[in-house]
Amino acid sequence: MRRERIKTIQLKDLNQIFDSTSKIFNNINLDIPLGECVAIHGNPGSGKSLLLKIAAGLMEPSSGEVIYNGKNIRDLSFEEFTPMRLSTSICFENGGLLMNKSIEENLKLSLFYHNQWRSERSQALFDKLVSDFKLKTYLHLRPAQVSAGVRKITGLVRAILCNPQILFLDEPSLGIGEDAVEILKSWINEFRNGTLKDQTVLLATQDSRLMSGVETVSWYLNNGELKKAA
Amino acid sequence: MFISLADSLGRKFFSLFEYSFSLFHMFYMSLKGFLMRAKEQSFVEILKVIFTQIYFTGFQAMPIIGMLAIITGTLTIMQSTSQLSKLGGGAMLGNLLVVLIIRELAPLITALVVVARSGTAVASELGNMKVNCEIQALESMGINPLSYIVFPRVLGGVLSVLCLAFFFCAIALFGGYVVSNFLHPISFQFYSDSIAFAISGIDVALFLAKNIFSGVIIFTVCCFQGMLVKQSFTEVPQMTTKAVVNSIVYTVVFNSLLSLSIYLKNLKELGII
Repeated sequence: MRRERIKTIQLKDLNQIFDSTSKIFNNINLDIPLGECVAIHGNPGSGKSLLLKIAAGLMEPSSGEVIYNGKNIRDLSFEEFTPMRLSTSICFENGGLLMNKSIEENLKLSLFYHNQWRSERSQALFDKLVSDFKLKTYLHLRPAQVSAGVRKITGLVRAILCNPQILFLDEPSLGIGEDAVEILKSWINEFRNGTLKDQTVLLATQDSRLMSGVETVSWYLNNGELKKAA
Repeated sequence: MFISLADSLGRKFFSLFEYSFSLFHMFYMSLKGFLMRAKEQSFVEILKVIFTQIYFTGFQAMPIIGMLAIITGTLTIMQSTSQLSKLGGGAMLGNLLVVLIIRELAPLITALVVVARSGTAVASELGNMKVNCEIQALESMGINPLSYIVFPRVLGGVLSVLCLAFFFCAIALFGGYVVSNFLHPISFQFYSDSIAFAISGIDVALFLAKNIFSGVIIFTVCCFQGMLVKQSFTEVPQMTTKAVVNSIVYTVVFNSLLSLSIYLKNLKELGII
């Protein structure tokens, strides 16, 4: 399936309510600036991961709109949204790996499924990422057989491997070592200076290690409200 | 009191209808998702899931199905021969075995074993996948969980149930004969002829209808219940239990209704009703 380039992503009047009483978001509005690295900060439980998943179209807000290229994604079927979704990629907080597949199968799944594995570019990128993030020794193992840090890195590599235009990273540096954080930072910078001008990273993090050395547009999520950092 | 009873029954009927519609909708969407993107998705990846399902549901269940088939076949043959010979109806042995084993016991016992072994596994696997964000991860990669997770499991499940039920019949009829022959010798020529002449088109149709329905409903219900898990691992056993109960109810009710309709047709043909 062909990808559709994303020209705009807007979050409009987002509200998220749990158990009909606790309000997580209170009328959040955000035009994601494409071509930037947007960092969302906030205390644990403030809803950063939830906001990221809603922005990525993986969860529906209680009310409000998520608009990709002028279309409210709530009105699109899975098939209609897929071309835009293929331009995005997400690294989950817990890795989000398929437990019944090996690390290698997890990494290649999307490429195999969309018949993209045969391209030399995909294979070269796979080899480079596996080598950079030191995953070679774990490729044949299942996610349950490796540490949480390796699972996290695998989720990260899987997200980058899809060569997305928009990369959603949910606490990407949490639980991984200093070396991997440095490689991640260089990858984020390399990604943003890539061949396409509008390659974007939307990052939810509390980790100060990641913020030094990566130029970001920062927002703070606090008490359900999203405010731009001064 | 009568009004509240009627109200309660009405609500239960409505919720049953709603639940059945949701199951049908899920099955339809998974089939549609698979067919719509048949050219764009890797058929090999889907086949891998189908074969894995057949291996776990079909191949791995063969020993337990074989054991149950031998016991069921032996008991049925022994009881039938002893009772029929008292009535002087020994020639009816084949008809009785075909009706009991091919029409009734094979589809029912196979379905119960598949629910217990694979239905629970599928429901808990999907529930855990939901909690681990695996389903969201698939969606984020542009992989429709209905066409990649649900459809191959249903298709693999249907093929497995059909093969297992056929295996059950073969073992029950021939394995059962061998075992019961030690206690109550019967001529093999008489036995095999009696069964061969008793099998009719309606038996085959009933066998296929019951097993195909069982396969579809067991795996659709179990996938549906697994997908209902939201956030917590504690929901997984609850949904698995519901999946087992609902699968058994749908299967038993459908099998009974189908058998009843054939029974009534037979009575009508005999002029009894």
